[in-house]
Amino acid sequence: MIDFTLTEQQKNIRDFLHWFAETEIRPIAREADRLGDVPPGFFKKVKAMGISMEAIPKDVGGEGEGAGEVKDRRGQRQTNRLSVIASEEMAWGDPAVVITLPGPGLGGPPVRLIGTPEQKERFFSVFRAEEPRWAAYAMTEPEAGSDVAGIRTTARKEGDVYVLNGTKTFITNGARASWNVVFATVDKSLGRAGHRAFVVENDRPGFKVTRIMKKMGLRASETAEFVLDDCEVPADNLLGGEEHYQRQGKEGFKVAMATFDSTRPVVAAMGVGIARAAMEYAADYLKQNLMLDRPVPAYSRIRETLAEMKRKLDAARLLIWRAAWMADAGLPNSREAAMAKAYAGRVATDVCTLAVELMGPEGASRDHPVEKCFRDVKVYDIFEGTGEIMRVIISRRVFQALGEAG
Amino acid sequence: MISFELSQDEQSLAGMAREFAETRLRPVLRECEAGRGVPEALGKEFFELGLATLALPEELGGVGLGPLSRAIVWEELAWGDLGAALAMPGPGLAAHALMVLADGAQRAEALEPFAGRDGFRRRGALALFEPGFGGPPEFRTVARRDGPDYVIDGKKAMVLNGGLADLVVVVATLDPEAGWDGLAAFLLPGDTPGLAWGPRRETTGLETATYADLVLDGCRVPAGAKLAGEGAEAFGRFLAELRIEAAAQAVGLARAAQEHAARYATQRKAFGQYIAEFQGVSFMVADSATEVDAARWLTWRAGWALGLEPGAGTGHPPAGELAAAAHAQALAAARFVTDRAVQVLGGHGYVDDHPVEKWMRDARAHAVLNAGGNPAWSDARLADAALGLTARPAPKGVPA
Repeated sequence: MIDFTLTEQQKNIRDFLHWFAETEIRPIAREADRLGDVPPGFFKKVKAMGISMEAIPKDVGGEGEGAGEVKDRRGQRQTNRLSVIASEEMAWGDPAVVITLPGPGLGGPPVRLIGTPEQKERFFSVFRAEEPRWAAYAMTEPEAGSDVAGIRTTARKEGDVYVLNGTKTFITNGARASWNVVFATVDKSLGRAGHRAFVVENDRPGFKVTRIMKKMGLRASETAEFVLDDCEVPADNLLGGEEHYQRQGKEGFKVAMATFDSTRPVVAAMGVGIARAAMEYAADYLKQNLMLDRPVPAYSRIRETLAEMKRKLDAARLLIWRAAWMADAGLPNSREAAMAKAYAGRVATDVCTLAVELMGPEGASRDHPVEKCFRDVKVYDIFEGTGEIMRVIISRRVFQALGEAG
Repeated sequence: MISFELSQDEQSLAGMAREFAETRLRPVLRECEAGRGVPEALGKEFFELGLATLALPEELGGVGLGPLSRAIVWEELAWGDLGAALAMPGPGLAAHALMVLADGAQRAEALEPFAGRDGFRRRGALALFEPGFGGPPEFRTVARRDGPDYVIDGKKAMVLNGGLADLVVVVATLDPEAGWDGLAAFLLPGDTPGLAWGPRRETTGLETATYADLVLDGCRVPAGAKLAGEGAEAFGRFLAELRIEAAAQAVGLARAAQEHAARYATQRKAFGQYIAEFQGVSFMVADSATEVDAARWLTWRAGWALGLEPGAGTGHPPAGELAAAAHAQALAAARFVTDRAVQVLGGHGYVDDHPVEKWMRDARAHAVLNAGGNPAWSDARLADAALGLTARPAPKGVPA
């Protein structure tokens, strides 16, 4: 049945995270942006509260570990729906702080999806430590971004180890991570069938972080570049083990790519959260100000712009919910996840740009948060697959569906 | 619990509507347009399938569907041909007034003729909007109490089924100074003295449907002709119904164009390859598909919310606000998507070998002729919400 009601659990989590975003995240956001890092004391507090990017505290209905699945009363998965609701709310607080929250981050899903039970235990147990811990996901290379099939990092098997060589870049939390999921090829001539996912611990010899990037926005979030120089990892660190790739062949890599079908709606939801914050701030600001002796909102052009911002964010949120619902129901959702990401990325960027514009010169001032939203949100139309790649995926699926219908 | 899954009933309703749209409306889309109407046999079939009385309760011969289910059906009908679906016999938009504003006795009396043997020949109309740019709170058609009667004077513009209708619901104000609170609706037989239709208006699209202006000159009706519901709250709900239906129609229209353009792109070659392989084309297809879905979910959310018991506590903004969002978004999506469809087909999209040029005209016309009003009014309502002004009375000239 069609339903848009949040469950009690979802409402509790949303309200709790809204409170958390407002009272804990927002007060440090501006300073974190200026410093280019999150104040370390913050993580201790967060750890004590049991919050990470995926792990929702137990006392508001979550599992607390990030590796588990959240189910509703009827036993249906609702992890994805919960994640998008939670992400929007936290990003409304501050996206850079949120993606710096301790936990497995984007490194979690591949391990969860294709890791062996032994690997899941070994890699997730890191997060039981007292100190905050991170993991990361390393796909992009200087010469291969959206074109993930073109990665050049190599993995060569020597006895019971793999030797990795290559450069990975744009890795969120890549330097502070305890381990990175690194994608490499065992044989370039095999194309995608030659791709493998490895877990590389950051203390392996030959693993060297070479650069922390300076960015337009999300400055408090660490974006690392690292080199793998004859970096040896045990064969046991091949995610899923040899059998997985023998069994699945080319599909083995596809499973790794399936990660995106659940992470894209989450990323899109964060974009909506940022834009919602910018829109709310701009609207409040306008209400209190006069232009040519009239309240600013009395001008129809202003009202029209605000209305369009609001309904497009609503539309984006529903596309996101739809994709998340499909993921929870176990339905293939590549098309819908791409739609959510493509639409939300574009709309969120537009909304933040307009929020700056509506506020006039004040919009560009660092005394207000909208200029930061504007800088932060742009990357939501880029990472986890650019808007253009999303359109390639969507159109391919649309054409495919026509072929299947005859 | 957030879910996008259609119920069994909704699936079979959608299937039935889609089959009618595909086998009855699509094949005659150009003939109906050229003939400025639907053949009587087609109208009879539409009527007998219950498609003309979706909102009416079963005891009055209707199907008893809520706003969400109707939105699902209307998307399919509009996918077939919106102009023809609007031109069909039945109580039409008057049904919404009868459902939302009339009391049980008024409703039963007004609908009785539709249950008769020649019910399928009868039509209802809703005379809502006026010449000029004023929304409902600025209406100048006035109903003045005179002893046991009301006397109505004023002008209504571009009324669907104008000149054809056997019954007309006229929206008028009891007090031009009272804005939303002064609104009331009157049920008039089509032959009421003082009620005069202008000629059929020629339009840029939706030409299968008939639009005409209405002049009310000392039009005298008994007090019982005034429908029970009046004022801001009743008319807010009424407008929400109209907006959701118009939004669903826009989604269907957009989907038709999007599908046609996507299929064309996989069949047409240029420079030695299918044009679907050019990203300049495939991105238009991707954006169109996304716009269709985005508009649909907003429409469904509004229909879902309006169908719940008042005060159900959905955790979403009020249904009237959701309807405004769906309305503005879907009408914009229909204009965008039909335009992109013509663009994908290039010159072939501009001539009548393909329906996309018609759909582009239909979408343009629908955005201004639809009963939910001008999308700019919907956006004005949303702006109030964005500014946190919804709790206050809507500013003059801004519909709820």
